[in-house]
Amino acid sequence: MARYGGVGGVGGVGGVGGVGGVGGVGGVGGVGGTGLGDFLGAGAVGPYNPALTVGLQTAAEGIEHVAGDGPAPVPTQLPENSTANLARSADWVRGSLYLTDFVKDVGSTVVGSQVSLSFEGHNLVSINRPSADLMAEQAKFVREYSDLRADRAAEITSQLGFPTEYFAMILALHPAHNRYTLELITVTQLMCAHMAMMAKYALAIRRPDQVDTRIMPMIATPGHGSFPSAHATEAYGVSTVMLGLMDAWQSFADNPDRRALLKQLANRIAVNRTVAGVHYPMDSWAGASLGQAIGGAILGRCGAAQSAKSITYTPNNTDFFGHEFDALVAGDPVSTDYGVQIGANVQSSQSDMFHWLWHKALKEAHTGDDGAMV
Amino acid sequence: MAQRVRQYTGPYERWVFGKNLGRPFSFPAIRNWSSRYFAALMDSPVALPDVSKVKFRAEPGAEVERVNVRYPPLWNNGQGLSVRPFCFYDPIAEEEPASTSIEDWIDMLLELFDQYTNGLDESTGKPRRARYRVNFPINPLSWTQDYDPTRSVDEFVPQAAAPKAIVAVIDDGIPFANRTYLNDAGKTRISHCWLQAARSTGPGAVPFGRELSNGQIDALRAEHGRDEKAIYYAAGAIDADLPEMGNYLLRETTHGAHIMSTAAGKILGKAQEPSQDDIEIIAVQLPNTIAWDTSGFGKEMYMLSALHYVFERAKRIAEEHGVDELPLVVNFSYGWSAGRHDGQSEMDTAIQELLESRRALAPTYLVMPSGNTYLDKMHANFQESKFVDDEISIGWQVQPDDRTSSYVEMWLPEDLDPEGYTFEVTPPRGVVFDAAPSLALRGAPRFPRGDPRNFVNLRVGGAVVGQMSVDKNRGTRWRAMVALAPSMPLKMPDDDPARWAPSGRWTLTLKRKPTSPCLPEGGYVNIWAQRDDDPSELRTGGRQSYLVELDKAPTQKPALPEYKQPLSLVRGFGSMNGVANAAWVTRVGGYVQSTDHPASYSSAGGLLNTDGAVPTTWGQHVDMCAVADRSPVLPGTVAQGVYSGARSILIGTSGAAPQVARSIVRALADGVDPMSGMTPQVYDYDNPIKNVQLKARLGDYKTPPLWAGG
Repeated sequence: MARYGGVGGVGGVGGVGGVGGVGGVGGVGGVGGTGLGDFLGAGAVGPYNPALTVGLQTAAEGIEHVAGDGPAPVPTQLPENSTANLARSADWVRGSLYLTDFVKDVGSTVVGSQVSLSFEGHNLVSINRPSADLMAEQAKFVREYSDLRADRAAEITSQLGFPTEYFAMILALHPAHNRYTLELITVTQLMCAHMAMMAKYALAIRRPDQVDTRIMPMIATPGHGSFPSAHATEAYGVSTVMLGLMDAWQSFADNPDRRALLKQLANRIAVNRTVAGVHYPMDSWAGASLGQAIGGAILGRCGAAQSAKSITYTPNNTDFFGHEFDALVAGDPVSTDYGVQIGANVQSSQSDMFHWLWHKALKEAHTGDDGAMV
Repeated sequence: MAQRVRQYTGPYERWVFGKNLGRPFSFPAIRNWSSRYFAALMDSPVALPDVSKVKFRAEPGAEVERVNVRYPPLWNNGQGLSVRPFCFYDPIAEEEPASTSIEDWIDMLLELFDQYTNGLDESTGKPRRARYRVNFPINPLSWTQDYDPTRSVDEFVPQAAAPKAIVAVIDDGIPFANRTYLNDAGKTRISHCWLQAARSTGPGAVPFGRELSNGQIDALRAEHGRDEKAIYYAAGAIDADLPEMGNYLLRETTHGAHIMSTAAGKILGKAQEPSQDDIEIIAVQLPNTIAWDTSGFGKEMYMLSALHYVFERAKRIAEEHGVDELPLVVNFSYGWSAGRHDGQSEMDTAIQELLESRRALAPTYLVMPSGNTYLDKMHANFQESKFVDDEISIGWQVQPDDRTSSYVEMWLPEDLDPEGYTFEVTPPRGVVFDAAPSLALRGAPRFPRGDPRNFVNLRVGGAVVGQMSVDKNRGTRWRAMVALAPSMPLKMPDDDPARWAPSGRWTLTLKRKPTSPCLPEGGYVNIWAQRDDDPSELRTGGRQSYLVELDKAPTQKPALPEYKQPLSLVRGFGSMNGVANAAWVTRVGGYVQSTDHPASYSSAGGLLNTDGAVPTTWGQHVDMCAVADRSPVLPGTVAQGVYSGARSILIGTSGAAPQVARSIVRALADGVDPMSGMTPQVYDYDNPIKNVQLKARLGDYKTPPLWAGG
């Protein structure tokens, strides 16, 4: 028995995997949260259980002798600093690399009660802080929207994390053939979540339930500020990137319908958070503005065409309307002043990391061939 | 200031508008009354004043106009009708100190209105003052600033060929952009749609709200494409700022979506149906509160205006095609439980007048559900034989935790001389009134105008917790009733101390002297508890009160209906929809598709116990039936939701009525017998009582299911 005692220490290799399992980022379900989001632990092997560890060692001892006892061969080198290694990496490792590749070019400045987020030195959004009076006024909308809670309960509770399945539903995505498309979605959600937190931190706006007790949310109020909505940011970020990818794919005969559905979905995910009682409509305006700008920045990083706009948002007391937001970004006239001021095109340049991911996702078009039509 | 003698207030008005009575417990529109705009009914046989010429002034010769009156679009200019809707506002009210008493203020306005009818009295030599019922206020944002009932409807486009019939739906949440209403050319079949509570956008041919023509609906569809949500926002049909509109059309389905698609949409699940392009659609969306609250107060003006609007616009369509009138079927899946149930209420009278006048010109049907209260113990019937020691009593169970007012009505026979009759109310055991209340069945001299009536406030410890009343409704039928405050303490305006009525078993007693006349031969006393459940949409917190037979011996409740006499005092026969008692209304009960049995909740007309083989009927009865449930385990009917392609399931006779409307309007368009789409019903079971009961619940015709399968 004593001879086994020594190998017990090998159990330490379990630390490599971190939390999680082998699900990969395409895995469905679960409350992702932010941080690394769905990348957390994805692609990792996970810790071995003690019996396996011991078994591996006793097997090694028993068979090692047939490999002889000469010197180890000199290996070839992997390419240095190369995207060729990305596919060899665990998903969560790529997640770290994407994150750092993107975040290093993110800037944030606060002047007075306005926060401005930039990318590569160019403005993405400038968001003005709502007044306390406006929060009280907007709380009325939140109360009104509670009328829809019975209708939307299943959506709301299944959209607590990143609602990837809802986008998969529209784009017919499956992990078997859309591994990297799903990874692109996850990356986008991650960047959106991080940047939304920067804006939330700067603006520090109370959640509706702190303003009006009658709202009584149907889900736990998240532990960060209300404005802008990270769900709106993520939904509009993902829809912007997916609209770009669909344009590049050109693989759906009903592309126009799917485009319309993506926009409806982004709107609905944003509004569901107002229904739930955790966001004001103005949070959705701010989040949508930020999300489409980040989506454009990501498409730019990918080397893809994008037409996202830098936006200055000055909240006023209106409801949130996705179709009006889409019209504003498209440069079409709208009937009301929503406080959304459309600025210059979003600037973003290609990086190796994102270009690699984009190339992988392009090959996942539903063409039946191995790869995209372009 | 001496208290005014209020000349217009019936028992509901007095309770609901009274600051120290029931107003703190009313709907927000009344509780927080800030509007100077009113909807109302005038009940008078005199010709309508021409409001374009008549100005009402505070005093004769005064410079300032005081009351501005307008009529909604009235079919045939309202000629020959005795009950008519109107609305009015007080343009200078803002200059006066805020009145603390709505009743005083309304009373003053109506007195001014009477100045005109006084003038008529002089010209006719007959002093016949109008009766008024004041309804829910109108949101100032909905008030049309430049209203002209004769103006043409913007962008209305006549069909290339004259339609063969018109189907109309009056309901809530009308999804007018749904593609189920497109004709083969891709244009909407909805010729006119009136959103009564929508924001007014400028000059219009409706007095409040917003009207959409077929041209405007098609233009909205062209502008917004398939995004129906964007259409509803643009049309003001979703408007979170207006409580009577709100976000209702963001739901997957609405009552109105279900009803209208059943009556007029493309069919579900059945491939073969003739094109419906020869049937045009008119729709009216009621204000949310009116549609969802079923307590029966204050909505007649909106309902009656809707009916007039449908008739008036149908006439315009006909005239576009050189026809006088077209066949018309209106579905109105709505109702409440109390009321006269004798066809003589204001609404019944108005409906009957309209149907009679129009049916003389073209086939005209108003289809309504029988109701869903058969099992709810909300109706009782006393015949003369039930008087013991010259009194009858009924228990009225008021539930705890009820956050709305509760009402119960007792109706005496029309031709009864109530000399020596008194009405008494006893609170639940352990509660003592400050003074034992009793009201004789006669009017108080302090009310020389309006119906003979009298009131007593029910007080416990000085606080008013209810009101009992007697009134000779419309001067023809005595009613004794009780209105109760909520059964739990609620926050009161102005930090007034809370007032609440005890929950539990209340007792209503009708007493008479030994010398008093008995009920007339064949006469009976009917009692209804008013509908007071909680439509979740409104979150009223209402809890349904019900009737209890006192001293009833315990019995086994049968699992299946027993067809025998006598019926118990509290019974489902007589639970008929309180708004559907005009003789010519088409009343629809519900059956279960897989069993052909009546849906358990489907309300029925009244039955009286007899000494003979079978009970006899009283009042109006179910005319026909349609599917209300697909099977005992698949409740409800299937229809279409708000957004194109969405599905809706609705349980109740509301969903049965539009199947009948659909069948009748199809037959009228085809120029065949209106009942030709239905199966005549024969009830020939061995037990004759069963035949009477089934006929009372299912009527003379059965509409086949609209969808295949079970």
